[in-house]
Amino acid sequence: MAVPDTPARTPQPAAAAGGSAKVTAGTAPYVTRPTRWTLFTRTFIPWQLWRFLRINLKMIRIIRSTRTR
Amino acid sequence: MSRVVILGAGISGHTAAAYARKWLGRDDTVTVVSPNDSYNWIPSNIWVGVGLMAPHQVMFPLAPVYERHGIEFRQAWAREIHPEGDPAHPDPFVVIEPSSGGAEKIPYDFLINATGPRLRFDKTEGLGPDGHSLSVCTPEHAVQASAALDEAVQRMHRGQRQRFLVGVGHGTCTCEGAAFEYIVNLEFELRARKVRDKAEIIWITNEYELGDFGMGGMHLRRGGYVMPSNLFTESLFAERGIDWITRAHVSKVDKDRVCYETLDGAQREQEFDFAMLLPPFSGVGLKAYGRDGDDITGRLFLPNDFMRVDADYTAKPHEQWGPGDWPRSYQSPAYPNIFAAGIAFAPPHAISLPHTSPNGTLIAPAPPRTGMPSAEIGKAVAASIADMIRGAPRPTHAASMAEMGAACVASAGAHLLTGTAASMTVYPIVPDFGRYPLYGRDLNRTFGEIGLAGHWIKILLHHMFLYKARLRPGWALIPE
Repeated sequence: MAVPDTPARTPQPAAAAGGSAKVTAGTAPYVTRPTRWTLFTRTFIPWQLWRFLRINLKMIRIIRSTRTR
Repeated sequence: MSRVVILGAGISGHTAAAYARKWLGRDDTVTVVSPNDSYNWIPSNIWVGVGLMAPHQVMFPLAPVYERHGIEFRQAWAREIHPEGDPAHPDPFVVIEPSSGGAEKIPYDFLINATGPRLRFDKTEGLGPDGHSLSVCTPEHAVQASAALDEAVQRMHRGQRQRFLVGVGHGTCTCEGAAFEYIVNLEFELRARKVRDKAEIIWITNEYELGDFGMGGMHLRRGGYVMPSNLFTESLFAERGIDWITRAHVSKVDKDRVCYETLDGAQREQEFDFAMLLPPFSGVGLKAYGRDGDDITGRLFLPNDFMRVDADYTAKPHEQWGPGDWPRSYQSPAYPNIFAAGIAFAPPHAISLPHTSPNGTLIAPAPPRTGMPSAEIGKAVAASIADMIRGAPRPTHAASMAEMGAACVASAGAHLLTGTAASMTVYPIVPDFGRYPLYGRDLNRTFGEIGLAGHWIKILLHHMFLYKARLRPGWALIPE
């Protein structure tokens, strides 16, 4: 079963040998960032109560499909 | 009457012991051998490492639990396996070394090797608590990390800037997920202690891309797209102002800097004031001897000291890797009454694609096999052994990581109202490009989401799994 090669994704910045190959989060222009609405919903209690229920159900589904045979 | 001996009382060994006791008759004995007197719920060590929990909140003494449930407990190091006995003892036995000294032979009919990893800080010069970096692999290490964090925060309160370096300390490490949890919790904690503006936080990893986690990454449905997990992880880091270094093999840790090589072969340095770097793992180094005392360690173990089981260990290029390579029963091919569970079994190969630098340095995460998979494997092995004791000719239960999903909740800040966690599920753990041609995984059962609900789930799991591990009433109803 063939495993595809790693797809070309975000490029590594060219860093001079000897220096750090660090990518600085604040200046990485290609990075996806959350909107204010997304940040708000992450701690908005009514929405998170719903997500708590949904995520638990999803995890139970995974656990049920993973039961040892 | 049958004797089941389990080496190790971590997540896998403890689970196997509990189920073996539950499923075997009272005439059968279950013996656990562990050098530690306490059980440690390792996933919560990261909270000890940032000072949010005390060690007693992630540990409990094993002896009273085992006594209550009729499991014999020996606090000792396991040293040797004699699967054919010796001229004086025809039955197979293990040699253990109690903490009080001396050596003792423990006979067995079935043996489960769940000894977990040996923390190989020695693979990188200067790595580890005895060198210049910290760890959260054990509660003791986590307490040291917490104390060092307190000192760094004191310095920041005095106006000094501090550089935090978190990640893995070798090109072949696994457990990137634990280091990931630590760095985002560290960032949250620095904000809570009102010193975030004086901290530079850097992630250093052997992953080819962020979000690989030793599983080759994963794909998630999000906002009408199927996106790779590196976008998810980069976003999480960028949002928190965490910088990152990927494709790195740390070769040396000095007092104030690490030396590392990147996949392009360049030798680089990164300075730090505080470094928490996880070590690579190997097996614990058990030896095996035949009836006449000849060394048969190579028949039971690979050179990395992990135990050979029913996996396909044929060396082959990654294009030929398949789900069928992964073990199902975890039975030793050499001795049918020996099994390995959890980290102690030798995986057939990595899950992430291997990469080597022009200097020949392997920079590739080893496959993760902690938490849920370890417990599932321990349970499956215990079920097979119970059936074999009742007469089954071969193992009856399977727990292949290529047919198993995993649920993981990575804490990203511990607060009941403002904390968050990344909740993730992946199915299967080992990608199966035959069943799921494009992404290797079932996207209906692979998802990731960040939010406060994840933190609530993380707290719930912490208490639920410790309740289960204490074998309190109804423990078996709680899933692995």
